[in-house]
Amino acid sequence: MNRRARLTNAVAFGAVRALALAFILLVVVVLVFTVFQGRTELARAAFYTSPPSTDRVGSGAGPQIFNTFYLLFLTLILTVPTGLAAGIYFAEYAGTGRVVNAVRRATETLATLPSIVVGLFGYALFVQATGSHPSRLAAALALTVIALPYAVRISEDALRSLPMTLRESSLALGATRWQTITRVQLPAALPQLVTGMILIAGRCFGEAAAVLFTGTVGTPTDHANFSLNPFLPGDTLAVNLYVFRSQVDPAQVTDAATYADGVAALLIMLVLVFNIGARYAARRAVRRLQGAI
Amino acid sequence: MSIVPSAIVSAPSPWRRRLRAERVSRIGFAGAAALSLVVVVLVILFLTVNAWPAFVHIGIDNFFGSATWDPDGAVYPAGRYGALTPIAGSAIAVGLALVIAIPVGLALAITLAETGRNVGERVFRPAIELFVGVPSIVYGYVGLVLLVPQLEKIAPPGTAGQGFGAAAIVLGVMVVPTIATLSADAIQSVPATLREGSTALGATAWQTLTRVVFPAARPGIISSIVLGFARAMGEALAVALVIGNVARIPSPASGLNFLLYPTMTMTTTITDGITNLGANPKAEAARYLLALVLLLITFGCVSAIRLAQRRSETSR
Repeated sequence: MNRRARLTNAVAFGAVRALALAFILLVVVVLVFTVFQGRTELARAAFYTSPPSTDRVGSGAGPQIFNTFYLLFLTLILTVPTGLAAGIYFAEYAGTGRVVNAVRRATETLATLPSIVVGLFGYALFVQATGSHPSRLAAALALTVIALPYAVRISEDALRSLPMTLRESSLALGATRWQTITRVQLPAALPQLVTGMILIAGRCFGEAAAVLFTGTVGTPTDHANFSLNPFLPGDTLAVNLYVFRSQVDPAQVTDAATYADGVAALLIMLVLVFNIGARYAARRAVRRLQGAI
Repeated sequence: MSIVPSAIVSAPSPWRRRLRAERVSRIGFAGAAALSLVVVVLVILFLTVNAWPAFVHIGIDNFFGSATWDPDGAVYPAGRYGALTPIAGSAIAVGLALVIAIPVGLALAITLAETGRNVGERVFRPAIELFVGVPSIVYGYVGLVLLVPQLEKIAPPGTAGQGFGAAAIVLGVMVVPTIATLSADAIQSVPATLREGSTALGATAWQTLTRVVFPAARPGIISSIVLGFARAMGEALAVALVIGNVARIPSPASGLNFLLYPTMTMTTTITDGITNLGANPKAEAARYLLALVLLLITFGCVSAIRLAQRRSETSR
């Protein structure tokens, strides 16, 4: 019996570890393959500058690269202050009443809401109901709906993870709550906040469904430009990856698949940069704070 | 505000200014928090208003009672809006995806949580967190470029390898990191004393895991699976690339080909309408109604997670 239990133990853990390792290897292979597949596009200078085309050969992702970061910028401007304020409320003020419970539930619902539903909602509200056309602002607002619940959760968790003594000593010294939050709590939570926000950014710029409905309804790549005007339409790398593998006719645009390969490879590389950046920022901030104390 | 002595309230400027700042900032924070609720109400409102023509002109009974989805009148000139096909498509694709994702995700979670600190935390966790960050459209792209051509070789003639099989694999791989990280958190948060008690009684690591740690971590594991389910259910574009988008559920009698015939899900049906929004009001309303169904599923998932967690609190 004992021997059998030990045998089960060994076999089961062996199988579990093999399965886990196999999955990790599979995804690593997939990521390496994607970058490898796009290497010729990534080596082409025009890929980074010229606009994409849905009716002729020779697409580039220039405006999409610009737009991806511009949308990210707009989204973070809207998301970070709002998410931070809401996180502060949940961590510092919120009780357990009915209203607070409903708000918490709403935040959880938003975090679970499919991005295509957000896209359709964004189209109905920011495009149709306002009587305008798809625009970068509409896309940024839709992305904010997606990013906000994550920003709230990250801010709340960051503040909650601080030791209670920090807050108590500040209050004991006569600081008001506002002073305690802005001058003691937020600086102490900064490393976690920065890491979290970078990860949110990584999530936003890969989001395609919501932008597809709000940023570029209709012919997707006609309005590719480098303008900063938020009321102009614009699409992103992730949207282009979908469009060039599904809607663009490969018989007419013979390099559509190659172009998509390049976009996918670029997306993967950017994800890597965001992740490593988040890790690096966190480590540096932690070291600096520890040094300061 | 009752804790503030009245002497301070009536005191002159600096105190009063600070108190006002306190009140204003508190209202500001509360307003930001309430924004989520406002957005959810707006989502319900706008989806319902836009889906309203579907209630009136298509009828709830036709929508949920028929499996014929032909919004543009390709076969039936008046158009048919039977949502059973996309709903069943979503259920099958997500069900199959979870069959893949639950064992693999749990295996990863165990490896993550139970392997030594160094390997688990330094190698597995960063890798999986990176996988969570990979845009879902990239998973769909890889499915289309790598997986679909392989499936095409065994697919029935005239089809391209797109269908439930490809969709389930893409969704499964996409959802594994979600299940793995959240389950690992749940496993790690089980008190060490439980584990030690079990080990002290002579249980092997596997017995401890399956009979002590898993039951204790069950609410967290269930939550992770529900969230994985919600993510798979809501994924649109990655699935749209690999499912083929044909309004038919393959016959279960077709054996392995069941997985290889092109079909559709709720999200791909909504995506499909992107090219002609506004051209066909009835079809558009039907797609909003599908989005409303997805919203209801989301509500269900959030409630299920809450229920699982509340159960665990009362049982402790």
